[in-house]
Amino acid sequence: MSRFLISRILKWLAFAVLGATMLTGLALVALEVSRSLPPHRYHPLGIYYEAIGLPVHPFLPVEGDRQVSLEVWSADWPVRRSQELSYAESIRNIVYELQRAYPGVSMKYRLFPLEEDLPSRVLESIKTSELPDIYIGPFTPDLLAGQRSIALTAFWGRNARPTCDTIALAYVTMDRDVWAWPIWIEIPGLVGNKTLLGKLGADIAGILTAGWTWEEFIQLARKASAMSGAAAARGQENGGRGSDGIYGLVINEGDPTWFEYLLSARSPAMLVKGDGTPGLDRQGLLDVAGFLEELRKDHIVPPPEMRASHRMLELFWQGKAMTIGPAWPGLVRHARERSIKSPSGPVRPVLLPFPRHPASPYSVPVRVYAGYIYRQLADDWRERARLAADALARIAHDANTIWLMARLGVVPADLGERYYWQDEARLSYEENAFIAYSTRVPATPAATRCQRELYNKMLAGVITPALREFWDGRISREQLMEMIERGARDLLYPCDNASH
Amino acid sequence: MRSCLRLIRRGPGVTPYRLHRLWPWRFTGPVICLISLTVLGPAAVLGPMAAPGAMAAPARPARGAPTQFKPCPFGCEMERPLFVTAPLMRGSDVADVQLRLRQLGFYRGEIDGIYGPSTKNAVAAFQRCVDVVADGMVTGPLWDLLAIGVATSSGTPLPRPPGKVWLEVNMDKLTLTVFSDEEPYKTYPVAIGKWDTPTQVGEFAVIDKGYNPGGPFGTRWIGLNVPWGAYGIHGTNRPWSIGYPASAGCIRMLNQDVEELFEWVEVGTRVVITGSEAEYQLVVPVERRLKPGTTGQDVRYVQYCLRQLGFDTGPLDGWFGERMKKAVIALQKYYNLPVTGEVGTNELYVLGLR
Repeated sequence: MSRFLISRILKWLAFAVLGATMLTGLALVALEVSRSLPPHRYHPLGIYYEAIGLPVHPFLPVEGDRQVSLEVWSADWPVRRSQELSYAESIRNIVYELQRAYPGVSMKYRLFPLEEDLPSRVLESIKTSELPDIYIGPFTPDLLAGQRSIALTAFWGRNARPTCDTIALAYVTMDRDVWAWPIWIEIPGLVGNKTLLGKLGADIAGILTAGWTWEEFIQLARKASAMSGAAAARGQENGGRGSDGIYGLVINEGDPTWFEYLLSARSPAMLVKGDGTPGLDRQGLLDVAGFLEELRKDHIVPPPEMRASHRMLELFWQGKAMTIGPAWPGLVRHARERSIKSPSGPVRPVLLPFPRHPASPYSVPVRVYAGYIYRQLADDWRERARLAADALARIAHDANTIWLMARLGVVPADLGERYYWQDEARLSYEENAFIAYSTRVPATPAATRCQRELYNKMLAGVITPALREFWDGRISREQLMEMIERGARDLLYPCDNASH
Repeated sequence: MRSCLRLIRRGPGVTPYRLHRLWPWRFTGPVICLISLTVLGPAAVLGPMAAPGAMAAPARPARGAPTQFKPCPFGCEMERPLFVTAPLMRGSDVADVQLRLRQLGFYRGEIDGIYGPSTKNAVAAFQRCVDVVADGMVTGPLWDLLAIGVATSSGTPLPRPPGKVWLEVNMDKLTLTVFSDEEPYKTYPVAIGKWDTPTQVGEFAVIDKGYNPGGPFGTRWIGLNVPWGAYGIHGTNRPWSIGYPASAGCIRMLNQDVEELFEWVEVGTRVVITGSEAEYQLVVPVERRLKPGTTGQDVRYVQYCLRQLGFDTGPLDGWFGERMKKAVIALQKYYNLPVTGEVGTNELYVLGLR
């Protein structure tokens, strides 16, 4: 190679290196500049804004020396991050991060012990107008404070939404507005005795994949009852005292959601039709009554005089109950912790879906925990609301919240966060299968507030009391239907009736 | 030959006495006389204490109600004439005597709480030293003589703490610390219960106060609301025992210290008693259904377990009150159990006690 060529090559190399360095420097400067500029369309945490035509401007930073203090109400969950660090102490990180983003903003977390019924407290506060900026709790339309509640739709553009689970989003959406930020979902089920189910020949993997029908459940429960045979019969003769046979199902009958599951297991929209008109699925109610009658036969459930629900856990851990429930996350957590402590115990728990009617797709009403934003009675309410939405996004995505969700046994509403939650929760194959099955065809709530209120009124005021009377054997099937139809006539009205 | 006087322990903090009669028809005259003397002698000394029914613990005063001072007779402290009997006398008061005599150099044996010949000889030697009748018996005046030379106060008096007062007794350090609004204000040395008559760990409250109870209770009494016995903080006529596990369960202080503390505390003042052996003492079997109004060490243990799970029951005082009921209801709601407000089988499984 000639010297001229070599020198040429070296010169171009030098130019290339110099050019690359300059470009890198420019890129870094551009990045730094872009960070200091207010975001135009995308928030780093995934809140998508549209700048035009919103009552709350999403981008303006807190100006000057103004100090804003946001108040957050939440339950003080009974979990400890470590021996020294309680849940209350571990959320300081969220406060710190918000203060780093907005130096003029502080956040005051007010944690209420579980002994204090926080939703009731919020309901009282709605009456007295002393509301926090943010409340995190189970979503229910009752906790919307009319003009004081701020719809989060303002912060989510029409074409862009956070990566939220559709189930959770459906629960917090009414009249086409999103009224709270979904944080996690609680999915109920039954806790089954895997050891016993194996002896009965149950296909647990199949149940977790395709569910089980009422008939399949009853067949297994009858087999379980037959296993104990004479003991169960003696127990029945003795009024259930000192029995103890093996029961297919021990239910916490005091849980009002038990009857709601039955209705959902028969038909997802039993009480209010899809178009909002009230209606009762008579055949569906009859099927539910028939299932309850089957459960009472053949000692599938303990007799009422035994008050078995007061010994539910004892019966389960002694291997005398095939399934117990309803299993909300608290009960699931207990089962998990106990099985971890005694992995080689005689009873191995497994989380199972509720059995369903063969003609129905499986659906179960879930519970969604979400963050509400309330408008404050101050001139700067718009700015506070915007900051509250920002804070809520941070809370939903914080590592402490993910850790909390793993400990409480609930499922994150954000699909992106589930990835991190999986690492933290370390679910078993069966638990993952249960979640996948339960969220496949969820019970979708009504789309309007009127419909939801009707549904809740019917369920709490008419259906549940009537089914309870029937379950306790005080009324017949015909009386049950009459009671429900009479209640529906008094209570239901079309949702487009302006007078309501 | 059986003795006619036996101490029966019924539980921590309560030590009743009962007379047992022998079978007199089995013995001849002289033996019968000897037995009679043995029966009548202590009965004459002990007097009303020998009466049946004197063993019952004093009735608990109503919470917060003004009370006439009644220190626990033979509940947490003992004082009686000490002398050699058959069987030998035992108790914390004997241990106190042995401790002091060892400090003074008169006793070299083990502090075992048994009034045997070696203890008697040490007492007699001390009596000779202080010019009293050397009969080897410890009675009222001798206690005062034993206390000569021991400090009656641990430090300089201080003004009343400015903030809200609460107390912490640390059973490892044998101290009582007065807190004023979460800040330590003053620390006193104390004596606590021995291993077989331990001071109760937990979180209690002052339930009554009294002046000049006298004797082993010193110049002041501050009663605590321990449900299963009469425990308190009091002065002492055995100041040499301060700094040792020497009592029958109460917390002893020097008289001037307790007089100062007496003015700072009120009925309802919180008293927290902690120690590294706290958990060991807390663990008791829970074999009954616990309902609001129940008291006992099993209630205290359930309170402790509820706390471990993150539910706030209020103080660890062994009282199933309103706060504990709310915690139980919260537990039942959280774990999807029937809501009863009582601790039954379900709750014991959740708490890990089954």
